Amino acid sequence: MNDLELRFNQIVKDYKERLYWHVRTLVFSHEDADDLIQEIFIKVWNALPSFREESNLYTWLYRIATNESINFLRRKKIRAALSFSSLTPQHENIIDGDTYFNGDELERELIKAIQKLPEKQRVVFSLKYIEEMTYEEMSEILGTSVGALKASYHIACEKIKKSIKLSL
Amino acid sequence: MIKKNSYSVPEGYFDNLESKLTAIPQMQGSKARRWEKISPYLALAACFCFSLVLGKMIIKGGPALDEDGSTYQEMVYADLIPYTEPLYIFTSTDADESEALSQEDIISYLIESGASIELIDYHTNK
Repeated sequence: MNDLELRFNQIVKDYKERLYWHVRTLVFSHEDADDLIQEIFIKVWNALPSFREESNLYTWLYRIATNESINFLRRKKIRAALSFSSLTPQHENIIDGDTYFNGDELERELIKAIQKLPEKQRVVFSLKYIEEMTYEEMSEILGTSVGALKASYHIACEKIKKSIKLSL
Repeated sequence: MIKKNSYSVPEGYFDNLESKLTAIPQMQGSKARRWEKISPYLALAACFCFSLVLGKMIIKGGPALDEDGSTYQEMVYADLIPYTEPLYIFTSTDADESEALSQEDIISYLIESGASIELIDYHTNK
């Protein structure tokens, strides 16, 4: 086993759970998170030789995971659009039929409301509200200014409030 | 508020995940290792290209001239006048009668070069 493999294995050991939960808060379903986490680590392995030590490993990994999750959500949306199926019922089925979700009814409604948001707003909301990240951390991961993130989070909150009011 | 404990994973999931993820290097192969493998071949190809360029430069630098300079003239004209240029074929007055192209040559050239039927017809009825 060479140095690169040893380093990769150490990253797997240290970050697999944190990255899994990060992805899970973005895509919600365990099956999707499981597929994605493997794709993410394949990307990490391929990019590891070019990773510069001076950058923050945590930020680098989270950026890869977030970008992959956004791409995944986008692909899913396109697939749904191409199959002429409405997004909302499909999403609702995912969370309703997810055996690995133990939340109560209100949490279920909240997730459904989050799933209706556009991908970027959804990511901003999940990172801030569920993962409780600071705007500065989010700014580093998403490469967006703090001001833009605050605005995006505010809009997302308003949409979610409206959506939950309608469903209750 | 949604908390992470609202979610669960199958039992022993993270242990299985670790073994799946640590198998990635074997499945994917290392880019660095791939580079190490192909770099000697690339170096060899670069040497070959360099020697070709060097050889061409040496030949161009000193062309052997005939006493009357005919070879040199021939090389100059070879560069200046492309023999496949149709305009040249039809308008050249320097062309020797014996070397002039026949009607058949022109038609077969047009057919091979994929010219339109109208153009071929035009030359056939000329």
